[in-house]
Amino acid sequence: MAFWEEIFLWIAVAGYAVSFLLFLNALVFRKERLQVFGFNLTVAAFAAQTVAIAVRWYVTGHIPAMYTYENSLAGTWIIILTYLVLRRFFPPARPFAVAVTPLVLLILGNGMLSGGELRPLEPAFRSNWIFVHVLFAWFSFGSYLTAFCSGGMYLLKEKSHTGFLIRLPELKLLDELSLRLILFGFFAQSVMIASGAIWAHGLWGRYWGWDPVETWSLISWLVYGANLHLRVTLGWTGRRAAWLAVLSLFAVIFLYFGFGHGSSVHTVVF
Amino acid sequence: MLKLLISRKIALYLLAAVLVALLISAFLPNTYTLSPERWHDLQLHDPDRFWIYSHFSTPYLVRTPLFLGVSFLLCLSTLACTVDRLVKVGKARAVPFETEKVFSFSVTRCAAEDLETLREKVQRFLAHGKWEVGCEETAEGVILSGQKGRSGLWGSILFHAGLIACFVAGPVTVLGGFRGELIVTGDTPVSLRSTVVALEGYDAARVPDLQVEVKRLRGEYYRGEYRYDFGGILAVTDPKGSRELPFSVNRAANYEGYQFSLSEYGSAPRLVLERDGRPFFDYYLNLRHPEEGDYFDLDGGVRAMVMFFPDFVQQGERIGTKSKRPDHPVTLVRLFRGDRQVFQGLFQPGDEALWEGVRIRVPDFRHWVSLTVTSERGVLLVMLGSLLGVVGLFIRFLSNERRIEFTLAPAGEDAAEYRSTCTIRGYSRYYPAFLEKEVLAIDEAMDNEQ
Repeated sequence: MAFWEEIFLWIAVAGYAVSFLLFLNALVFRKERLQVFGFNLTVAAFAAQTVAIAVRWYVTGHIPAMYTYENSLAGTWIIILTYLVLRRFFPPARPFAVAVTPLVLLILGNGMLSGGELRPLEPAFRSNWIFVHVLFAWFSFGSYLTAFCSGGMYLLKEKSHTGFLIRLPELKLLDELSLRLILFGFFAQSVMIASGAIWAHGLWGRYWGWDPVETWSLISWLVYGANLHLRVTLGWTGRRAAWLAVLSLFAVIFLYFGFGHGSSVHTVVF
Repeated sequence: MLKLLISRKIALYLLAAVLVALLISAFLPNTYTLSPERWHDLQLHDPDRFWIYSHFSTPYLVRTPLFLGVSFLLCLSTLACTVDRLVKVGKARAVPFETEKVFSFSVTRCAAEDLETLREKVQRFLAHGKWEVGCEETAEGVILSGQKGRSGLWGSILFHAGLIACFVAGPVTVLGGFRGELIVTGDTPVSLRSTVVALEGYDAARVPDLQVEVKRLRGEYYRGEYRYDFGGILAVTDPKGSRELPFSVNRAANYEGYQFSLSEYGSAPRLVLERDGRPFFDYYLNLRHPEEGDYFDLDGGVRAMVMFFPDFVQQGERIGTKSKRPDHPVTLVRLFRGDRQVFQGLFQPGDEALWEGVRIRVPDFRHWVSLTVTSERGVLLVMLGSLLGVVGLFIRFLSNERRIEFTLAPAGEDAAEYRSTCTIRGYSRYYPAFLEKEVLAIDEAMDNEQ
């Protein structure tokens, strides 16, 4: 890791951690001001993370998209960006930070533990498809993650309308939001898979090879495809749809942390 | 049968079947998740588990007739549902909101205007908002309707058409294509057909009879350690002539529908063994295990272990390489008779040694590459399908199919100051909260409509 990258990254990590605590306090003890502080702190931490990414990009000379650390750095940035954009167009989504920030911390922590050695871009990554593939991968994960938050909050709010839960957005809005987020995530994941297939054709001479990462990405895509069909075609709404949004994320978690990355051509790229 | 195929529930069941099968198979180890040695061990020592893994882990399961059959039915069902939707839309010119599961929300307002003035006002409002306007006279009154977001349906149809194209690409690729591996040492011409090793299910006899040679191989390492750039020139000679095609990682060489992608790169020291001045072993050895060393069987029950150090360094008893750049190349040769080591020597290019009357020489070294040779006829279909699918999904994401109905009726006699009533009812397929907001906004906007 570069010196300034490390400094700004730790500022970001601290910011997200404190922001999570503020949001948690705000919801449990019903303190609106803490939510405002928490949100502002998330924005500040995001700015610090942006600087950390810019420093790394400058020092290595390539987009941070190679191996676990760089992926977690860029990926969590896009997840927070998705949250901030959502918050901009849909203000009641502000408390989603209580679920988004700890997950971001987990992913960043996993990345930092794997080591952030500065390396040049390996030959296999030198393709313009890397921008499309990686960017849309994280956009889809960010959307699915916020859909998960929306579904989780729906289930909490539906159970009880008292205490801090009263401050969560309306049930109808949460339901609709999770559908929109899943639809966008599904679109982004489709772009990721399609661009990955074209890149793989140029790199390995085949567009699909049933490598574990490819298999899990197809599985998670099919899971969300089935999710959308159940909601759109069979009209599942409310609690069932919320459970779908929550449970579907496990397929994505497997894709990221699970079977694939230990033994895949996605790690042994050339 | 057709009824079954156009049933969306059946399509969902088929999708669920494919999904569950893939999900279970993904947990089983396969040749990607186990090293070749462990896979081989499993085959020898645990044949039952090996049988399960080699039949039901994902790369194998997807080739079974049952899985292929269910996938084919899913493809057929997707096609049938899409065509059925198109036919229904063509007949009705619109998707009926009343007969499908939709959300609806309504508000009723009283108006001081008479029915005709109110009707004109609503018509102006709908035209101003670029709604597709419809009008119907019923016993309850006049119903003026506006519809938007129909492009979502076309987005969905495009997406499913793209999906079908990708489905079709699978068999086109498998039946019409080729996959194999070609391992060649630099500056050594070979016949493609006889050297390429076809993967399971493909036949090397289908490959054109060309002569291929890799030249000017380069392997560059950043700071001597990190892989940076690899490539070379592929010289292809056929009866028509000869062509030189540059290739590198991410930039495959293409020749007459065949793609040559660089997949491995290594060193190949030349080992020569001579007895009485006559060589009985003279090969460039393509070393594939730089850490453990590669073993080769020689005559007389002797085995050779060969390791190559590109940038040799020795500290006491320990030997190794400083970097991956060939700045100080040294080849280690060990000879074994049974398990007993009978010779060991370190050779710089040009060095030689004598062992039991055998002259051992390492005159020079070259590089070798492994090229994946493929012909994927389905790739264009995949690209087309992906494009259609992504565009379709984007349209689907942006559009929100909904209808607003204004039911206009004369006010009752008890409502003295009002002359008419207007019920604004909105229908939306997916977004209830958005619909509620929109209907309330329309109700408010009607007050401002002149």
